[in-house]
Amino acid sequence: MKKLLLSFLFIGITTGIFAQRQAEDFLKSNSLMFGGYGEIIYNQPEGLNGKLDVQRLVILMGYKFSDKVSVLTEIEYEHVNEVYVEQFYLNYKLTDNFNVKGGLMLIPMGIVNEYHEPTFFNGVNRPSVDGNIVPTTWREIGVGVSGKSDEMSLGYQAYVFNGFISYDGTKGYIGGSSGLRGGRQKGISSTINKPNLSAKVDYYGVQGLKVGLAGYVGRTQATDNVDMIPGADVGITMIGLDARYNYNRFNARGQYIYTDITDAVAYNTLTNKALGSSMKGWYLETSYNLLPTEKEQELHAFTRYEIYDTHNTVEGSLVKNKAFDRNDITFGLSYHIAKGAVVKTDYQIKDDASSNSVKNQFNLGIGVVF
Amino acid sequence: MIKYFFVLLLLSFNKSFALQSDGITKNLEVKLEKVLKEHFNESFKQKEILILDADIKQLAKLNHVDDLIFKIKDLNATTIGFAYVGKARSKIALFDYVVIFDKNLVISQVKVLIYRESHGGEIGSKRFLHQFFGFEKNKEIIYKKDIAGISGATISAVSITNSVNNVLKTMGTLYQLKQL
Repeated sequence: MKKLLLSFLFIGITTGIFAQRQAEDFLKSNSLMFGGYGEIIYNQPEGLNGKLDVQRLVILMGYKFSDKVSVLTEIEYEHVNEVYVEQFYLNYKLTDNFNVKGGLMLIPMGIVNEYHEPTFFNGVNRPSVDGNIVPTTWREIGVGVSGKSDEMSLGYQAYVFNGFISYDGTKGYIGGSSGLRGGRQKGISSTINKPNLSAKVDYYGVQGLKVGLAGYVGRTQATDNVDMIPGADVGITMIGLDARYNYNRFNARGQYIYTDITDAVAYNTLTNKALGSSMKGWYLETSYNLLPTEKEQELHAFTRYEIYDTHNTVEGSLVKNKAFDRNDITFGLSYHIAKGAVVKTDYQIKDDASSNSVKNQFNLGIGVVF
Repeated sequence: MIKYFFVLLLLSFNKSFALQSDGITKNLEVKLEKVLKEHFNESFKQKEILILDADIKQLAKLNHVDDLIFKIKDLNATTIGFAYVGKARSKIALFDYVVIFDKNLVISQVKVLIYRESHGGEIGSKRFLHQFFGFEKNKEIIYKKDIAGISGATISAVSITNSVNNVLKTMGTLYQLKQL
């Protein structure tokens, strides 16, 4: 009996050591990575009540199964009480320059849809073009390839994605003011009947400069019971050109996005949603770090001018709504108090082509990436 | 008898989960050899791992516990340069890189050997890595002043800049300690 007890004690100690070693090995292997980002904002339109919001908190987890196979996941809390999966894809690296990816992924269009962590852009709110024309955060389930050429300083991505939903028999999801934004399916029991194609090429062969050209083509989706009805879906062709440049303390970026929509007349007849036949938007932003580059902290003063119109052209009996032809001037400061932690403030002068007055807005926010 | 049985069982467990201790994987070795051959051409004959005592390692402050330093030798077994093979962090994984020094401890090549995620891989660009050439031991590189970043690859670009900075310090210390 005594021998048996001693044996159990021995097993307990050695398996304890073994479990600890397993944990140490696991940590040493660096197979599991945690990270995240989040932003809390304060928006104060002139003459109206302000808004305080935990806009998003995103927890990132990545796991490396091998040198070739990895998974990336992001779980997002929006406004505290809405939970989404923002990204969840499997990456299979076939060669150094060629990956196959599948899952819930970001559509490569413009700058901010892919790089939307708060330390990567100036301004408390994302640029208005990346919200109204590119419906960031735009993600769908799909499959595709990505890679790069170190010799040519070129990156590429090409995917087949599920498209926006436009009609489900009860209402239209895309429309005049917010364009395609309401049609994002986000991988939530998505309906698919017509796959869409998306591709982007980035060139970064000139010191400090990165230029991207993106394309997206396909049709929106409609549910089974209504997908044969004329106007239940529309055709979408989107092109985007973006550029980012940095030289010492000076930074500049800009993008141009144009979206062509076919069959909008039939869609508007069916849904009465005033969808335009084309949309476009562009912005240009410059910033300057007021602190010396030797300092870890950075204080960027920036100005951004942007124009975005979700009724760039309209067809049929639809009258162009001038209030959808908008422009913003945003200027402010981004104070990076440490790598990955930023305090931002800005003021936005907003206007549109109508005779209505548009409220200007003061913004304050904190953002973290870790 | 039971005790011996469990001891044997545990020994077999530990054996089956034993760690590889060769320090460099075959895949990494192949890529490193290729880079060295391309860089030194016919001069390259062999690489010899630099074995450092624990106290020297502590003084030299290697970036990562698995980092390795090689002496590069020619046909006459003369040292013609050094290669520092290290690991650094990208957004969600570690990547492997090599910094090649000439015999005067000036950087003559930097390559990303294995990059394990799809984002941030732009740092492998020849144009980007060329910016590190010419820096010598103990010099401090300042990101955005000496090295222009790459938009969309900020985390990895900062990471490799910090790593190369540490490598320059480490090589300086090892030189001072007459280990090279």
